[in-house]
Amino acid sequence: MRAGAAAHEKDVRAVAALALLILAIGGGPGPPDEPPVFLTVRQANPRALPVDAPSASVSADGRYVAFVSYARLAAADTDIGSDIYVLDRATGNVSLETFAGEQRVSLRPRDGTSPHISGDGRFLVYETTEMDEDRIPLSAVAVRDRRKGTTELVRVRGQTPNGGCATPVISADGRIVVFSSSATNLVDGPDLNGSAEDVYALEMRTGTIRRVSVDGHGRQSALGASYAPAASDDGRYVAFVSTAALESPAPAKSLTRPQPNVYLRDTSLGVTTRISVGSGGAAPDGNSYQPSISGDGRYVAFTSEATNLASHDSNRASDVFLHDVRTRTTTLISRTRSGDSANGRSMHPAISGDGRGIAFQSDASDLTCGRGCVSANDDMNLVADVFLFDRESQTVRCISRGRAAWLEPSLGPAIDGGGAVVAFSSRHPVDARDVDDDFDLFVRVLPTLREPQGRASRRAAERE
Amino acid sequence: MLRVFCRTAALCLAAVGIASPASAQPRHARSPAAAWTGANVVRVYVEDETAPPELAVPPIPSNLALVPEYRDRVISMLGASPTFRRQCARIANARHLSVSVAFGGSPGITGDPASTRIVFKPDGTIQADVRIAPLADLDELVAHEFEHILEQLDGVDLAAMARRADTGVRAIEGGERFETARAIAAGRQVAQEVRRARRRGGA
Repeated sequence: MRAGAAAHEKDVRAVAALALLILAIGGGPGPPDEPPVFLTVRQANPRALPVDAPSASVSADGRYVAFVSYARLAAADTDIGSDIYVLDRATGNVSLETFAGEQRVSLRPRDGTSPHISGDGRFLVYETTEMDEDRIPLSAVAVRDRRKGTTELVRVRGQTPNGGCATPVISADGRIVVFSSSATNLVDGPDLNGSAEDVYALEMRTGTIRRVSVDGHGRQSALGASYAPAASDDGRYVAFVSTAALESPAPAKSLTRPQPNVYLRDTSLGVTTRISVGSGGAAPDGNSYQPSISGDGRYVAFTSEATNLASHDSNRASDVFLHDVRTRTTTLISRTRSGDSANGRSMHPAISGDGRGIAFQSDASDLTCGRGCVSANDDMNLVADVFLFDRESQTVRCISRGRAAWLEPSLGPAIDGGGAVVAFSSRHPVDARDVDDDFDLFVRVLPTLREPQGRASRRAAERE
Repeated sequence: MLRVFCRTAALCLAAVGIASPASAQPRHARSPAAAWTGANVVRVYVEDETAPPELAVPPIPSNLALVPEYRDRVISMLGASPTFRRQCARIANARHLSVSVAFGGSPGITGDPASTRIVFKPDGTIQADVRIAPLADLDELVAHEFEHILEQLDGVDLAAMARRADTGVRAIEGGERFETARAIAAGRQVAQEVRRARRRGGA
């Protein structure tokens, strides 16, 4: 009897523990304040100032997260520079992906920044540094095939670019690599703007490269620079920033000073459209930059300092906007529940492949509640947090927090194709032992936006 | 054509056929695959309000000067509160910062039990002088004032934020001084962690 009672008690304890575990990882409806679960990896970003550029990229299927780390996460990592790693959420392993190869061309044994990963995680592009023939360091674009284990630096017709190549992105299907470059020898013909940056698209299979930052007639502007590209899933649509006037038809009067605008190039139809416009077609009265494009190219999220892109923008700070290419409408998404502009700057949008979720960072404290905020929701850390805007429900919620708000800054979000996996960097400690004053990678799996809370949570937990 | 780098020369040759000779590859290019994989570097993080693991108490930061009467209490806080440990770690890492904590009556006319005066010097260094009234709730107030110092390390423009609504920053005494929800929350959090540790008998 005693043994039986003990066994029963043990069973009850086991069931209770299982129930608690399910609740803890988000299975079932659960209480609304259940703590979120994050995967964390050391990035050990030593910068005293907060990094404000995204240092991670999530594959469209959400399985792989490419990220920059200064920590030595693998035995082969023997340098002190920044490396690119890929986290496989299915196995829980991270793999070192940066490899400089020949010492002759590398400035440092390894270094890598600005990673971007293809939809299935096979291909990875990142920015690295090489020496040119005169031993001058140049930024270069590396393309890695993770299945074959090969890494290539972008070359054109066997030639080293005679200028730096930077901020690469790869289309989800892995066919097209888009990057900015100040080189003048990447395509035939004269480079009208000289060493000012242009945006190029490289077809990986054929090695064909073309300049994307051109107007509707395919002409390059002699003035201005183009940079910070983003590509749709098949690489057909490329969004980028340019200080050149590329819209068609050309503006009636030239700009008095170069102002960065966001453009979208349809590489199939050869059409270039300015995205940073008010819904009535108004020219912006401030700089626009940091575009992020949905998989089908319909939605482009971007940051703008303009005050006339949407109504209710009165905060005199950068905001995040969403442009619908089909309807030609621009919407302020870094806004309070009442629709007003937020009380701090917002930037670095990352749109999911399906165009529904837009993650961004913001210094604002009133995005999720505003006036009359209950204290539990207070965003009082005075520094940046990561938020997610749901285009369907038109709501904003904070991703970089537990049940209570974090005191530390969180920056540079990246998001997968379905809006279920968000990665960002945060100085929030990963546990009680973490007293390092640096940024680490946090990956949060969210209930997918299209599913009911309980089922989606369970699925997210299973993916963990 | 493209310059190709591989982890293993054999794989590289098979894939492309134009790889550099193996002798040109650095040693780590021929490392076993396991060396390129980091195991046990991914952690699952769930907000945890349970007791922190027993940790060695870190030393008081070398750039933090305390009156002797506060020294034992601060050491106790370091042992009991993860949040306070992180505050002190940030202070310790800020080599251009010097912090002093001393007794002080209310330096302002508001009767506040604690205050911090932060001076940015022309040589780039920062001097933070914390004054805390005797008999005050030291745990909460020290952490509260330290958070104000961290706000400045974060580059927070308190005056600008105080001008906007609902930022959690409030100007007092005509904009000469500021109070923040962040410092209040940090102070309370540390006090709570210290109380919990004391209840456990850990500090």
